[in-house]
Amino acid sequence: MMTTAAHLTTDELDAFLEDHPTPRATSHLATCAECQMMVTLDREVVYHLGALPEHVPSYRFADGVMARVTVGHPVSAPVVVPATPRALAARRRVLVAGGLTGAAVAGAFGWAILNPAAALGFASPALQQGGHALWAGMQVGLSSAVDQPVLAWVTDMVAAPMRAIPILVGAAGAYALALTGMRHLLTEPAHHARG
Amino acid sequence: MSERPVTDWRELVDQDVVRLAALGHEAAYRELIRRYERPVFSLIYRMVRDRELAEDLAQETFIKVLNAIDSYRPEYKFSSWIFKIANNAAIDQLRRRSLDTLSLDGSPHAESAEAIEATTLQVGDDRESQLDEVANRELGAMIEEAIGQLRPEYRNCILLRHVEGRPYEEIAEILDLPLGTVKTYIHRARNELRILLAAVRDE
Ligand SMILES: [Zn+2]
Repeated sequence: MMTTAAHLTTDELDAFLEDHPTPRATSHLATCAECQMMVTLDREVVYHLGALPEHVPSYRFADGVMARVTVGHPVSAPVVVPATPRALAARRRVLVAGGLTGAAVAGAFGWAILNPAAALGFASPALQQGGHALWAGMQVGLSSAVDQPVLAWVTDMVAAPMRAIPILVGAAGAYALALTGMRHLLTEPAHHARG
Repeated sequence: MSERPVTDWRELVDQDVVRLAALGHEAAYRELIRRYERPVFSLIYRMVRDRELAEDLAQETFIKVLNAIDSYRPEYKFSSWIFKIANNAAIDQLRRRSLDTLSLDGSPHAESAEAIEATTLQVGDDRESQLDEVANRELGAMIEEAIGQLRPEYRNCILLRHVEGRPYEEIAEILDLPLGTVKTYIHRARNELRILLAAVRDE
């Protein structure tokens, strides 16, 4: 079909490739077989160019580069970047939950130290019986192992459970500290979106 | 400002990684290499068409960029910077080797249709024999080969635009060329490939 309108300019061809052709280009294309062929071939060329595979350098490439690069101003601090609001919120939740749990455990231990009789009487008879049975088993199991002068304090502790409470409190404190320390080593959830 | 350890490099933009590299973190250097080794190597390889040479030039590119990481200006895209160095390395090499700059489309500086025609090499017979030779190959491989036949000035433009997907403005920045020139080179390169494709279809 013949058309009097000028053929598509290179900019108009570009606009077709980027899917925002001008109205003039669209109406011209509808009547011009020559430009239709141009646009079709252009799209095909661009498609094939975009589909070309990436060439991959050898596996030694990065090491080869790093061997000749001077890493400037070495620092010993860990790599840090600004935290995202989402990461900050997640960290706050973990700290609040951890703090409340730690406070509850410490409070319970403190109360038990100050009120040993009440603490022992607090448990139900069934729990007490179970506790006694467990304690007796531990005494039997440990007695042979700790029947040496150097472990006299262990023997005393087994014989008098109440003396173990400060040690248990200390252990609980150390455990809480370790948990807090571990928290800093734990990784954040990964965010894959690149800015 | 509150900070946290890097656990996933993919969440960082180039500027952040460059900043960490400038602070002396080796892992950041390696991340930049990981991000750009393939596109940089591909660009250079398609320019010089020699794998071993391309690997050397790509390494030189990274060494030059990473050793000057302190001088990086964040208002400039890192990709533009590294592609610029890579392109310069490839072009310098082509000049040194006086590699074939066979143009199917006349001088890149020719502005008028007459000037283009006057500077176009008469390669009709060669092109036909080339077409015969590649008739049975994959179209992609043929286009790859056709890119290699383009004038280097066209080649880097079309590679950056349609293989690496860089916008015209960034290509102008990378190649230090006016935007209009970049568009002209890309159109001429695409024109050549289009003619080749049409010829293959007509066979
Ligand atoms: Zn037309």
